[in-house]
Amino acid sequence: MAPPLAKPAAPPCPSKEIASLLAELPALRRYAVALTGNAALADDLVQDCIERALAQQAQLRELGRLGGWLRRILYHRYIDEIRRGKRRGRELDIGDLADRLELSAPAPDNSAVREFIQAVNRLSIEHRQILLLISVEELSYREIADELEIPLGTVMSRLARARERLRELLQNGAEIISLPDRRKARE
Amino acid sequence: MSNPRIISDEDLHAYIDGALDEARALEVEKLLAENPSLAERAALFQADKALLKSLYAPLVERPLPGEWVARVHRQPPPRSPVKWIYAIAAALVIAAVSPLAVQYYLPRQNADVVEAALDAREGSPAGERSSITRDGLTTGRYDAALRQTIASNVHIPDLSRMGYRLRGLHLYQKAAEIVYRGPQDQLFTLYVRRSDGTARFDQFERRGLRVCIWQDDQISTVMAGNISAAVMQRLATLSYTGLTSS
Repeated sequence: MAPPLAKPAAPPCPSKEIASLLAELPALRRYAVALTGNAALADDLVQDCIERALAQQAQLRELGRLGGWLRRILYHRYIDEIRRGKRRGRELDIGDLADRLELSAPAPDNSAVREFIQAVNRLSIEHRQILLLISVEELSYREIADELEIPLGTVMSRLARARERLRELLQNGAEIISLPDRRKARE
Repeated sequence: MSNPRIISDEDLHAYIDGALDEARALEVEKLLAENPSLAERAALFQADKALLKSLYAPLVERPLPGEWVARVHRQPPPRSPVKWIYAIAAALVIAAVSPLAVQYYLPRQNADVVEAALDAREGSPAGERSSITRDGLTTGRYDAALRQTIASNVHIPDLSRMGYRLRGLHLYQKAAEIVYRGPQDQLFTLYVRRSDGTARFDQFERRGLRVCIWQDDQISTVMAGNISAAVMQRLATLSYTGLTSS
């Protein structure tokens, strides 16, 4: 026999804000990995973002801007990490992730993919950031301008320079190959 | 104003990104057709953009660490010293058992609800099913039927903002399946039942479908559809917030 139905309970936890935060995390983690080129550091940064977001829940109420707000926090935390020269945990280069199922994207061959990822990782952070926002996060120029708090014209010129620089790195393969491995260089 | 016979770098990239107005985009297209080397350059930029997306976009599908989800669900933090002691003790217990729980317990629990949801979607649920179609029922009565079945204060989510229309509600002994049809008549199902008390958020592919499980301490929801990860993320957010709105 079926048990009697219980009285409807209170609205389930968590709140909409918390639910929205949870929903943003997969994309935020992706952005972190792509921006830093380091899966362990990316996870540390996302965890920091979670703590910061939970501590400032008033900000979460602007649900439409939540993704951008989290990315801004993450970016600034990353800059802080670089300035402090802080390294935490075992580093995993994004190049290693290229062998993983999640990154088994259609590509001519693995070496081309690795070369591409290496080139992306050699871009300046600003260039990497703007390329990711337009190509992976699929933001409009206006949305990028709002998120980075820069004029629309700066978005356009920065994007043009970032793409040019990426092309240079890709076309000058010798330059890429001659550079030391990032992990070895940090040791 | 830009010279129609010259393509600036900014215009070229705005063209690649679809950010030019229609008139200027046509001008750029015409100039590219007249200038093969510039067209080749544009094609390389477009290829780089596509490769960036194809390499990094799938990272969104990596399952989130269970401790992140648990951390978010532990809000708000306890304030009194006595509660802090309990919280620390609970955290220590969670830290001690979570690896085992994640490895053994959660996958089995989630597999159960996911399998139940997909069985229901395929029309072969474990128990008896009664169906209610959209005709003749107000949203309020739909909500009432859902609440009675789940025994929780939940609501039928409105997904019309994304072009998904409510088509029916299937009721089981302690679960419900809300059925939607999308803009291209694609089927999207939202399976709801009481949670086992654990928190979980995950997105993956199963039986050829994109599946999202979103579970808090009270309800467990499994969303399924033949849709992309990005669309699922937006639908999942809209579904969960609508379902749990007060």
